[in-house]
Amino acid sequence: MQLLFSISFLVASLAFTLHGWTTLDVLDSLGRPGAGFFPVLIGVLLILTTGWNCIKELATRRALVNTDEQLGSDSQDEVHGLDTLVVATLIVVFLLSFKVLGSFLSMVLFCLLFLSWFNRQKLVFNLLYSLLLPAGVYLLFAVVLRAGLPAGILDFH
Amino acid sequence: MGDIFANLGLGLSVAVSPGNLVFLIIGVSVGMVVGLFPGFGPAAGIAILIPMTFGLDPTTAIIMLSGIYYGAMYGGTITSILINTPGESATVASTLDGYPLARNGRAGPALVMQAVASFFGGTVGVILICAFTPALAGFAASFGPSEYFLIVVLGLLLLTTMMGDNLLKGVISALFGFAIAMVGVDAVSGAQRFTFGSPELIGGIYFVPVAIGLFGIGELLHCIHIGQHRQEVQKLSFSFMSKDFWPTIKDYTESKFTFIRGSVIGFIAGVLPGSGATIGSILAYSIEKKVAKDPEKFGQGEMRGLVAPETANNAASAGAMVPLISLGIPGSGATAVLLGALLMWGLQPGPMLIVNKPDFVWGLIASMYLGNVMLVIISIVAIPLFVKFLDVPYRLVVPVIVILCVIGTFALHSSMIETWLLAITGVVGFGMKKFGYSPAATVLALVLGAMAENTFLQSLIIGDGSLSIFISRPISLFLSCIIAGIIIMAVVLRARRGRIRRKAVADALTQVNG
Repeated sequence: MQLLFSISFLVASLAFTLHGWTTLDVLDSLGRPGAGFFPVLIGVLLILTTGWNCIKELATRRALVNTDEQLGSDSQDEVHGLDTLVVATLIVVFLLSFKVLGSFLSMVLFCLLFLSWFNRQKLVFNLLYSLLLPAGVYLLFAVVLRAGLPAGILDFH
Repeated sequence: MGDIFANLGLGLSVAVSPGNLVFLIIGVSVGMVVGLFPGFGPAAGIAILIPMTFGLDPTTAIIMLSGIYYGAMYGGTITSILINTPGESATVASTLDGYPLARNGRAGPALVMQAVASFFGGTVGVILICAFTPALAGFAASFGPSEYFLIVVLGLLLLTTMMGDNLLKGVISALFGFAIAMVGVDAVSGAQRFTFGSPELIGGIYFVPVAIGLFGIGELLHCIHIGQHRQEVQKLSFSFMSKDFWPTIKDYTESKFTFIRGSVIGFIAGVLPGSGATIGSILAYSIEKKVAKDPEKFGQGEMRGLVAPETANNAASAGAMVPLISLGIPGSGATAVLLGALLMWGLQPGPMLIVNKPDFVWGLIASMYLGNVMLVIISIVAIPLFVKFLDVPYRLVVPVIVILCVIGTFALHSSMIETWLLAITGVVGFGMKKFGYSPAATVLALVLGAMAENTFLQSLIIGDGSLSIFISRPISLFLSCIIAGIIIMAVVLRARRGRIRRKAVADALTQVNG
């Protein structure tokens, strides 16, 4: 996973530099630094550092595999990958429903879905919490601060 | 000296207006609550609450946001002492003796003493700000583009070397922030860069969604990942009516020099770009232990071991305001977000801010002193109340954070692109936190990106395209030498650590094999 993350940084750096190099002028007509000079410089440094990082991580990975084979690795920190994925997905669902359902209903939906996963067997509390928290945030932003929050297809602000 | 009092008088006249006082109280109280929740630092707190300050006067808004910043230092210690979990990285050192004190049945005195120490450190910090800010601003008036560019580089370098374990990943994080800052229209040629034809990207990528995503959503996902939402709450109760709640005279007399040492060390660490409250508090603790005649008592519940980091982290948070105000260079994630907020309100920090907007600068400084007074009162009187916040399970805090992040980001410009950017940077921030990158360096570079580019290009133009400008001016040469020294030191230390690690692995393998 760590290597994949590092590789995606390298790919993003390559794309950034390539796009900057092909669409921007590194030097202007007078030979002075142009709009692309600093971005390309940053891009090149990014490629060098992220590339080096990938090589280092590959080497570390190999060394770890060898060491684990000899030492017998059985220690794994307890992580909650599924829970993290659920929260990330719920945030995406929240954003997808934000314009469609409107701010208030999407907040209620998010709270209900979240609490039904993480706070099971407390139905009444979850319902109350899912109504009161969005109501408080809605009052603060839409009424007190007068932020233009989306109304949604039901025209429910 | 007379100037300092005249300036503070001006500041107090601004800070004590009813509106400013109300928002100062709100800011420091919110800061204390923000500090209580592990993984939810002042940078996230400030970033998330920026949208709520839009209807306010700029001075009031910054007073409130700064209140969150130093209020978090007070709040973060409560969890360090009571449950051995620092709410904020700057209060990590406070766990070393704070938690043993609580275990020894002295939680009450420890909580009161941390409030007094924080107040002392904050007060010394404010006094030193008054002395140093105008002096540094005057000195910085002679700075040219090359000096400013080098200070930006120095700040980022210190942040990545001192705060993170991995220099390379810190540098990548900073470069990533610079890359995001390149999106938008080039100020000189007017050319669009990395906008992909989207009108919403022409103005560039706004720092607030990125900061909220990296610090808010990213930290939250990381806390879920390590299972904070599954932890049982620890029920605690306190009463300040109890005699055992208060520190003894001996606690104060034994710590009298610790108060001063911690404050001075913390302030110096705060002034250095990229160093900040975390380094300051750890340094103050180490020095206190070194100078003590009875170092063996440290770590066993020694009051001086709590006073030193507490005075230091509060003095450092005040000290960090010096480069922020006088140079426009923030030294941490939280002050980078504060800088972004200042720029948002059209306030350009730097040597001229104190000349052009003295009421704002001195009002902010005076408000920090008032904020410290309020915090020491709130800390002591409302400890039983704040402890109640620890009874709230983290799983019930998560919806509050997510909703505030999303609604707050959308409320900025009613932009769904920015709201999606929040989600994307949230996931990236989670990965950065998990794999040892530095989200603070990314935000700092994003906020300083335009300044870095402009000063770098101006330096090149002044130097006729030659990089020698970075060593030909005395101050530039001095800064370049410091930067080179830091890089060399970081590489040498890393190589040494690597050798020690390799030797340890080899020893383990030898033991296993035979």
